[in-house]
Amino acid sequence: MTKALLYAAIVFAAIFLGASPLLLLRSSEGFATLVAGALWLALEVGRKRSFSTLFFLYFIGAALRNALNELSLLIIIPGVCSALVAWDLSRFLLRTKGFDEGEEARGLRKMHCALLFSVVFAGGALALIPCVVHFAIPFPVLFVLLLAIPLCLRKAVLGFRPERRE
Amino acid sequence: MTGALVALTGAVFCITAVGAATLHGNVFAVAIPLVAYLFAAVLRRPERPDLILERRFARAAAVQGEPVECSLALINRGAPLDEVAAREKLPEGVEGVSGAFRRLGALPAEGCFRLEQTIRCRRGVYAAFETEVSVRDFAGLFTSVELLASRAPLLVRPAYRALREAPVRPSGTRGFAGTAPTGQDGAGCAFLGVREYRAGDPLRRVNWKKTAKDERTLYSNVFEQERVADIGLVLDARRCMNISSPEDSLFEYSVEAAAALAERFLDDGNRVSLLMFGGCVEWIVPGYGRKHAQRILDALAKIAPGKNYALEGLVNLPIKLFPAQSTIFFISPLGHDDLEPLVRMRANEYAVAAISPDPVKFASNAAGDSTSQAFRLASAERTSLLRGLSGMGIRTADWDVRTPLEGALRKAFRGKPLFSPR
Repeated sequence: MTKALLYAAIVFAAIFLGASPLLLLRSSEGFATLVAGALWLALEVGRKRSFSTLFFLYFIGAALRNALNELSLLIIIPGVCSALVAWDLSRFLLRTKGFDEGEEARGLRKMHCALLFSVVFAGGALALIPCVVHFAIPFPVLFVLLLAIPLCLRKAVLGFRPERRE
Repeated sequence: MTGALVALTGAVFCITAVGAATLHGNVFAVAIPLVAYLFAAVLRRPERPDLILERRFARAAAVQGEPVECSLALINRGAPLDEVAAREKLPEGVEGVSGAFRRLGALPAEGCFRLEQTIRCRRGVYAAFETEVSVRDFAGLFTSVELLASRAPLLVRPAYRALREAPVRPSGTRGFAGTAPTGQDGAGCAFLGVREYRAGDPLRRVNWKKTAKDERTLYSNVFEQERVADIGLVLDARRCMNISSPEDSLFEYSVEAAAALAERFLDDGNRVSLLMFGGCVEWIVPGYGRKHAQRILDALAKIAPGKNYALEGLVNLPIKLFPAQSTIFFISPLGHDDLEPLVRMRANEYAVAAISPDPVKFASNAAGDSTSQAFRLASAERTSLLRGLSGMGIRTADWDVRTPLEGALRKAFRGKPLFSPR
């Protein structure tokens, strides 16, 4: 089930971030993204060494390029969400590899998928708000927001420190 | 800090920077799902997981190679944890036979993982078992890895093949009735001979058959007295003497011999003591019975070859610990320097016998070499050493460890009494 979701997520990410720009913007980079998606899928199916982080970053780069090329958010955001889901599931499968298939592992898989989809859905929905409600943010507000994001990530930054228990 | 976290935060900062540089709304929107994912991971990150590991063995002591059932419980005393991976790190000498040795799942508050497993251990004392526990948030961005130790000691006693009969007749005996024949007439079971009737001999001891042949004299049967004996076992645990291969160690055979002899002599009602020397000197005082056998086996479970400069030669060996006229079994691969102390033991009125696991055959078997000149020279040197011991009245069982101990003992002693010091 998890594997099927992973493969589907890779295919969706490649379609949204590769095929759509190829058709809509006639951009040649879209073809490269499709090839990258196919390669990622092949590696995941073969369960060879995982390069999921590299592929994920490449897909985010493709999304950024599409955004700069004025492609609709309705195409970019599902693509980003799919890439995020694929990256997460790929790492999750790698982490759980080698463990006994028991009741606990099945429960964990269900819980993980539920959490992941709810978070990604919420993030995607937030990102799609500008498609529904058009608003302009003045530069000072944007500046404050840009400062607020790192502050909110402070906890994450502090978490970079390795924890050592005495 | 995981690589995934670096990649994700790096991507978020890059997108935000590009968005700020270009003032492009769509670019900021790309970062929102990633930020949401990062926030969720931060919120659910494991904050100082409070985990307790409890291990229980089906029994506190086992025999080497015997399967031992073990139950492990990982209890979460803190906040709920999204992802917990427990991996058993078995100490050296322990192998898993069956059951679960790794487990993955989510642990709610006061939740518990149970791992039922069967292990098999080599001889020794296993004070603590360790389990590696990795705790992560659902996204696997924040990881906390801990090595939890469970203090559940397991004592693994040596495995040995029981001896069917005592290998020798001990020379010196004590005053109490036992099973060691003394060679003197008295109350006993073993027939010793016939002598002329003496006043006071019970009538049931009269040998009527012999008396019938001689009309003038009465004859009585004489039985051999059986007493308990003092047996001393000396186990050589010097590292320099006990060679080992990656799979096997000669010392294990010495331990096996000591355990088999102790059990046999104690079963026969004798008083047995044990002296072990290597890294230090350990002394198990003389005693009788099954409890004493367990005490000796426990001591044998704990002993390991060690190095101590004071004990490298046997000059400092406290041999006078043994009761007078004890029969001493010296269990050692033996070296040329050990001759003199053994003779000293004989001079102290002990009956001494040596049981020597053959290091030459052990090494040649491990190396798969039994024809080289080195092997022949070492064999010749050992033969000369054993002849020297024999010349000094110390009988030696030269034990090829691939064969049973009982055969080597029978060949060396043949049930005869050791040479008495008197």
